[in-house]
Amino acid sequence: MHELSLAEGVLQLIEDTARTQGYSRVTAVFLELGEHAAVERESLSFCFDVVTRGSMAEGARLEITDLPGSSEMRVKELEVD
Amino acid sequence: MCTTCGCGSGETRIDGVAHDQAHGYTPARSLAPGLPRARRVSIEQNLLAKNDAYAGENRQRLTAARVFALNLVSSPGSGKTSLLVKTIAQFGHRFPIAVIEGDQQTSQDAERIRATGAAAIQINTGKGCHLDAHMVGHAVAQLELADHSVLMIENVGNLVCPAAFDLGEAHKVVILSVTEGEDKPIKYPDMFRAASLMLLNKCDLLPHLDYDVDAAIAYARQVNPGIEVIRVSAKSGEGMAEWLAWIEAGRAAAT
Repeated sequence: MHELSLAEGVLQLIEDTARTQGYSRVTAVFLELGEHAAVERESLSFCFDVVTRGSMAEGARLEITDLPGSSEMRVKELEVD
Repeated sequence: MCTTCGCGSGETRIDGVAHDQAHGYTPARSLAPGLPRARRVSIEQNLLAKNDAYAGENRQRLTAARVFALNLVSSPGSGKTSLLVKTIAQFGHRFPIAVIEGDQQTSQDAERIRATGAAAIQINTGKGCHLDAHMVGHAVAQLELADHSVLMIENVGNLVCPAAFDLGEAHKVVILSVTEGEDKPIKYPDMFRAASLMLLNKCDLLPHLDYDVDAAIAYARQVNPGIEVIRVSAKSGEGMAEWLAWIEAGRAAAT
């Protein structure tokens, strides 16, 4: 469902930031996910693996931290080469 | 995290068992100490921010025009469009009503609305499972909404995804029909939590069903103690006066 479009949003953010930050490979993505964000983390991880195939984030680790009481979904940082 | 297929510790359960436990859970090992830290790049961006920014613009625009906007959400087949047709037929002379229709395919619903004389725009989401604020912004721009009017946004029939997407509406209104299960509110809590009002539709069918109205309302209040409930029937007209009073109160607050 919409986890796929959110995963595409994460990839877009990674690719946009690559231009300004000068990296060519991402090895990990750190994400904060609010408990009320209505996003299923397993589904998001699965979709992330699918959409990053063939991209600079292929094989990257997706590390998700829960945010109790929040409805935000925030990309915190990247681990890059 | 599950080492078999990479699934995490989310809320997915198969026969009540967490998926990672079903595989035999092995905790991930931490990295060996002393390894050099890879380069980190700070991002700090909210992923839903893009939708929320569009929703904010929509809300500002609607508020400025004193338009009372409702986002109607439900499962497919709950009778949203029939209820809208009835609403326009009964109250269209009191205040202008415009409609944005969301479906994956076809413009049948917008045509049904236009047949009542009300303005309607159809959004087809293609493969999309919900309306987003960007689509709705374009539709609002095309509708030329009258001052003090009511905008009804009929979302894609889906009790899951539309809950997460703010469109700039004043309220989400969830429609639950009595031909569905009483326990829908606890099965799909995000939607009932996001809504201000639940319209219990198709109440004319109650004599023919074993539906427990009190149980359905209790389930809805279990996930959202503040939710208002009105029993309606688009067919018999039951509850329409109460629904009108609710809209009028909202319009008064919006203007």
